[in-house]
Amino acid sequence: MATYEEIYGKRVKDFDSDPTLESSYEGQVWYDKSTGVLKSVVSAAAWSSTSNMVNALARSQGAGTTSAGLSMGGQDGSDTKLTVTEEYNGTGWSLGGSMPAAKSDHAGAGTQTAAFAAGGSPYLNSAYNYNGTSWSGIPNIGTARQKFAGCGTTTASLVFGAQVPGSPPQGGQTEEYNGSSWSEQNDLNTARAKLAGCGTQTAGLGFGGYQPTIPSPPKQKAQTEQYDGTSWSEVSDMITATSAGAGAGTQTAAIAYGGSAAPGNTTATQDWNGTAWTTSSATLGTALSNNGGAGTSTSALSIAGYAPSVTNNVEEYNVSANVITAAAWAAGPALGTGRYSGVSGGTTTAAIFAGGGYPRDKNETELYDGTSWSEVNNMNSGRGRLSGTGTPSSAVGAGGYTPNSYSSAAEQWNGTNWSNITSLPASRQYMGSIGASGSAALFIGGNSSGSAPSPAYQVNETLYWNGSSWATGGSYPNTVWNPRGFGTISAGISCGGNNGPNTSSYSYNGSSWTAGPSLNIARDNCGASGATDGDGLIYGGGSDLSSEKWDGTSFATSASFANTHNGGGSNQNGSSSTAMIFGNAPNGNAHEEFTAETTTLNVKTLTQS
Amino acid sequence: MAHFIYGVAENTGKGFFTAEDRRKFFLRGYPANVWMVGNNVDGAMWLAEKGAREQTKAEAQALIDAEVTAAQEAWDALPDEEKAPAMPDNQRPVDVILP
Repeated sequence: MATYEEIYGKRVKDFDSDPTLESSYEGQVWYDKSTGVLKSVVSAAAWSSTSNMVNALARSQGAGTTSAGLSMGGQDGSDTKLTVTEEYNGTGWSLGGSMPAAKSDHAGAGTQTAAFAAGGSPYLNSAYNYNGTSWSGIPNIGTARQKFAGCGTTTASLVFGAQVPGSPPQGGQTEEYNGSSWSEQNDLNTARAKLAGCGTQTAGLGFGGYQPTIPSPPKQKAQTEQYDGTSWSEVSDMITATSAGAGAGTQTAAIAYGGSAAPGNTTATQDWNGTAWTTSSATLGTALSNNGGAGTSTSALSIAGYAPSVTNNVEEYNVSANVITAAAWAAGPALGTGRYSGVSGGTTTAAIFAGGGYPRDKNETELYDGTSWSEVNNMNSGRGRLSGTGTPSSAVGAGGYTPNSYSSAAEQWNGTNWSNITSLPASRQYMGSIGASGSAALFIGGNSSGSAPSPAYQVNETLYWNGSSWATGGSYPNTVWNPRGFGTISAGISCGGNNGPNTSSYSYNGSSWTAGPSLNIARDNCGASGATDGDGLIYGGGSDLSSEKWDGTSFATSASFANTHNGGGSNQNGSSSTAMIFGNAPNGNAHEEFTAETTTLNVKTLTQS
Repeated sequence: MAHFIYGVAENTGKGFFTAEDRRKFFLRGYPANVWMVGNNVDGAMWLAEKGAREQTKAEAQALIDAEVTAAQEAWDALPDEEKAPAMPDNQRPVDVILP
């Protein structure tokens, strides 16, 4: 039998274990001496679920890439047109600037920081540009229309196809925008609406669509046309005629995915190589239509759509030698005593949870070592709606609610015992707290009095505990109870809070608070992890299961956990990649831990079969 | 032995199903949060990890039918001009039948 060297002129290297790999190793072969097998790095195409959008919608337009994506407009489940813009950072979605007016079934393309949206339902001719922050008007397109396609950039845009009032209702109208005005160009050869497109103004691609004059059924189109900057020419048809699907890529390398392919929505992905279409082995997880598209032929997004009801689910397509393991929450060991709103803090390998709970107000203290919770000495007085932070070796708790009254009592933990310390200046419950030790912590807002949590009784005070006395810090921008914070006492972030869950966030510099970007989801009584103000994760609250990553600039949606953790404790001294939440109102003891996304190479063992 | 098993689980977003999952076993989502996966160890483990309520095929089909019927009824309630044949893709949702 011929050897590998005799056939290919090269030898196969052998290693004691897998070499240090990177994606450029794709296709290379080595022999693993430890297991006695040949191995290689291979790429494969697949769709996987990625973070859900903030809003469920369909008939939006996508733009950008899988690491900087954009969804523009659309309509919700009651067919209300939307002004909403959402931005994707490769991990999660966050709200961008609102469009000047609602649009759905419009054309659009570009990048996350330079995109355009034109036309739309109902038969609009308005057009806008997005700069990554806000929208501004540009000249109207010449033909008011909806359900058409676009490609290119904000200074070299191309729109084509049409659903227009009157007869015939479908058209092939094509217009170019040069950064200052739209001009009519040669029509598509096949008039149609609801087609998909990609590419550039001088190398565009249009495919699929809908034209009901075709004998029914089907009415979906398979025609593909290329635009060279002057005119359209027909090339090979799609394998499966599809309308209301999405597309991504260029004139020479594109994919078409989802859409309506008689008799219903499809999961199919079709690959275009510049000459012909083939059906990909990769399929969307869920069949849907009117999804938005963004990205390239090897890395794309399928954004929401009808499945058949509107959804906020998003799928990501990758042809990669990398195996990406998404961020996820997993169950951890349960607390010994179920409760909520206690003193909590620390890391995923060294955390504390003390007090809290209702109606039997707890005084139990539990420490977590990364493997299990163990009960240690109790607090001196049990109370619920308690606030505080710290670590297993140093923590502070203050305020709360006993079965009969609000409390001003405060206690400090030295790693072994709790001792009573100077009381708060006033009785208070449901404060936020920031800090990593029992001798330096901030306490934020809370309820001052009254029979129930109420805006009438909540305060905007920031109190600073320095290990021996209480001082007043900068006033919180508004009255609040149950916010959650992370970071440090001189560089902290506080988010959400009651008075109805809210999306506010504020940063603290040691003396004053400054308004920051909004959370994507209104929260209160949630969890937060972050040792600094430049990196954190905020999650849950009430019945919400979602989490949001803070990168120092903005919040983006991330993985969701399985159980509600209303008022659960959290490891405040963690990070956006090391977080955990434990407990739930009134007496839940579930514990969940967060694992950040990882990327490894897709190493396969080669066999003869 | 049946080729597929069925379960109900909400798509929680990133990580709900991964590219590796898609390479290891058949997976397809349907209305009403119904998921059909290959009847093998990997598929069964995925359903379990997602906390899915396992369903028989008939039960899964009934859930799908209920959601599709609701979508069809919503479409039927639209004004006639919205249902005109010339309106692309604003077509009555079709029945979805599990294979």
